[in-house]
Amino acid sequence: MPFVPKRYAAPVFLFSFGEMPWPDELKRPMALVFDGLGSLHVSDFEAGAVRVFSKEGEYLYSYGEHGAGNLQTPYGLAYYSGRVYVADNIARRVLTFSRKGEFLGVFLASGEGEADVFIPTALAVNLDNGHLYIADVYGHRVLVADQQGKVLFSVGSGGGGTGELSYPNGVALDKKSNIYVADSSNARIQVFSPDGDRVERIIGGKGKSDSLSVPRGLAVDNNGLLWLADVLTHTVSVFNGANRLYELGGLGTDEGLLYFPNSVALAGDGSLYVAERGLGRISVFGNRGGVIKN
Amino acid sequence: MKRFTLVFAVLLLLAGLTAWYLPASAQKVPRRVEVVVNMLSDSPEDRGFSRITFYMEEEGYNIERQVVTKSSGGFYWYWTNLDENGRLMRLTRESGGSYGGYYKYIIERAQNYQDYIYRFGKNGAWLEARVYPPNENAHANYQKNTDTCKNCHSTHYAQTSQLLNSSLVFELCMTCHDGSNSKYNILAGSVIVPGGAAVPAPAGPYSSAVATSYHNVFREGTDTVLLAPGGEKTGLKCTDCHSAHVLQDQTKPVRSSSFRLLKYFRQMIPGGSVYDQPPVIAYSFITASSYETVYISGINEFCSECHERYNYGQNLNPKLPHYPTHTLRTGSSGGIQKSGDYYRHPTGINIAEWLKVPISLPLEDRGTGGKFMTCKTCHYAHGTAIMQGYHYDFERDKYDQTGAPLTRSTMLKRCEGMGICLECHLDIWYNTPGAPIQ
Repeated sequence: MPFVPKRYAAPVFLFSFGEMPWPDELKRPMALVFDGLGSLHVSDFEAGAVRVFSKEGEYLYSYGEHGAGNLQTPYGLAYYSGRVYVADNIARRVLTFSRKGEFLGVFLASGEGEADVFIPTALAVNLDNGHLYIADVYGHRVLVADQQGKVLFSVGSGGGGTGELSYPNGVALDKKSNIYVADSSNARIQVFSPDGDRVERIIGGKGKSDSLSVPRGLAVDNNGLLWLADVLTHTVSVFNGANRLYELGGLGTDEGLLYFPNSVALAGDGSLYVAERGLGRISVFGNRGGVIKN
Repeated sequence: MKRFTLVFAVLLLLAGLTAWYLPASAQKVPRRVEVVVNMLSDSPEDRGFSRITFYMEEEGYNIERQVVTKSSGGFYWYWTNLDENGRLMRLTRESGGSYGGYYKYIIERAQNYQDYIYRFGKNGAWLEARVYPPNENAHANYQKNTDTCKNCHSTHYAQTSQLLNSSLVFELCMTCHDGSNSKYNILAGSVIVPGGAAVPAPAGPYSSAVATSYHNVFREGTDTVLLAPGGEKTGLKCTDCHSAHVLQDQTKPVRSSSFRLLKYFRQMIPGGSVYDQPPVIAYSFITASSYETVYISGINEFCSECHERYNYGQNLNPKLPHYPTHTLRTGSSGGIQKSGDYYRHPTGINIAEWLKVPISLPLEDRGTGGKFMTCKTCHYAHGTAIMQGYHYDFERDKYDQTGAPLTRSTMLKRCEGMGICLECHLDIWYNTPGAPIQ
């Protein structure tokens, strides 16, 4: 058996939650993010709300269901400096809430002001400067906006060539601010330079023997490992560079298996939280001894 | 002389046989058409356009494209062999690259989020390709690799039949058709049109956050027994109406995937014969602000595959051969007639014969220029967002907003209140069809 450093050890299934009775059950969880105090915010695409859980899976509260911050189909989530950014897919805008769910305002709306037309899916934030990265399945690109909601630049354009994107449904950043984009309909991950001008690496791709299916949610941990949810293979894969270290899940509804995993989030202790869109469930993987260090 | 006459007669017979045989044998379609869609550059002038390339392995096929227009008189559609600049469309030989042996036809600037139907063939036989830029059609076009296949199927083994990657068809479909990987957002009942706007989709919404009634595919895989109203079929899933790959009978002169991938139904009749339900013929008419459907024929027959008794008069249906033909008729005479044990509202009538003002509800043309009422005239196919004072949600307990038990459904209807009735029955005192004028 090859030597595997402890930090690369495959996590095991720990527990799941989200299948509680209505009205607090998850109907179609699409994305998740931890806030600064360790609570897990989960966007429920069909319920039109963000549900908040403790990291142990206890339901805490919801927001986005009523009033000015009413959400239609919340998808991508990001957290930065006390604010939760929520991409409302069909409403075509990104809203901000406090971590307690108070509506703070519209961060960016498609076609309004200087903003171009966009349909947001996944979000990510650059913790160094607060820039928000918005995956756009209309323009097939990633928009990068500053904290004032001004679009600074975009990454990629529509197509299947290198540097081109088709229905991006995932975005994440590593420590060096390289931009990882789940190029979903091209079955690959493209890693762009921080300014978005160069493609540094491509993982998968159509016609490749070890290609991905429909990659979506992404996370990059502090070791530089890429965690990605591949929704139609029902797996979460972990990549070190272009090398796949291991896969979690597989088609099924039993514990430890995954059913349409759409997004991933890493907790402070390194545990992996997976949003299963098809089952309304969050599955948690980790190492009981806390070996996975994030 | 006799020998000459005999030879002449034989030659004449051969010529006749050849003339009879050749047209049929000369009908030919390409073995397959491969379609590649590439978005044009992101420059301001090219943004919103794609290049479509059709590849095939043999030359000599004619090319036609479908054109759908709309005027005050209604929709018009036709096939033409001219491109948008009035030039004859021709196949050209691909040179170089890995497709050296291929022939191709290129559309240089196809509008994104528009539906295109092209067909290729000889002497009346056609193979249609339906292309929906900016993406390649995952369901109905050949592509250059098998990645699209593997999105839904496992190649060698799977836990589910048809080697599908999911035990629930609904979830498989929703992976893309929640809007995240397709222009059709089935949940919200919206579709993206050229220019980027999202407009209502003709079939209505599914999401319980929006819809008050819907064809309930959410119960797929559960123990819940759902009975089709007016029929005996239980259970429902997306693939009861749609097929991911459906292609009409390979022996038919026109081979095509169907409108919205609606299924072709074939029934075995006792005695061994086969009955093919008429296919749904319909086309899309898409502008920067609307997405409309031009219904030609086949809707009532399609719906009656499950809702048999609502199309009571459909004597074509071999499952119901004994029912009379009163309610599926083309004339206006007779008003409401008794069909079987009941008096029934007619469907299938040509309302243009007695209603002289246009209505906003969808009607079938049937290639006659008429305006025929169908099930879809009053009902959406997927779901409705009307309220009718009730909220009806299969996913929750059946109570309205006041806590009172629900007693009825919004039944996928197109209009609130009496809206549907009054579209035709404009004035209940003076203009009710069939009622004597007072």
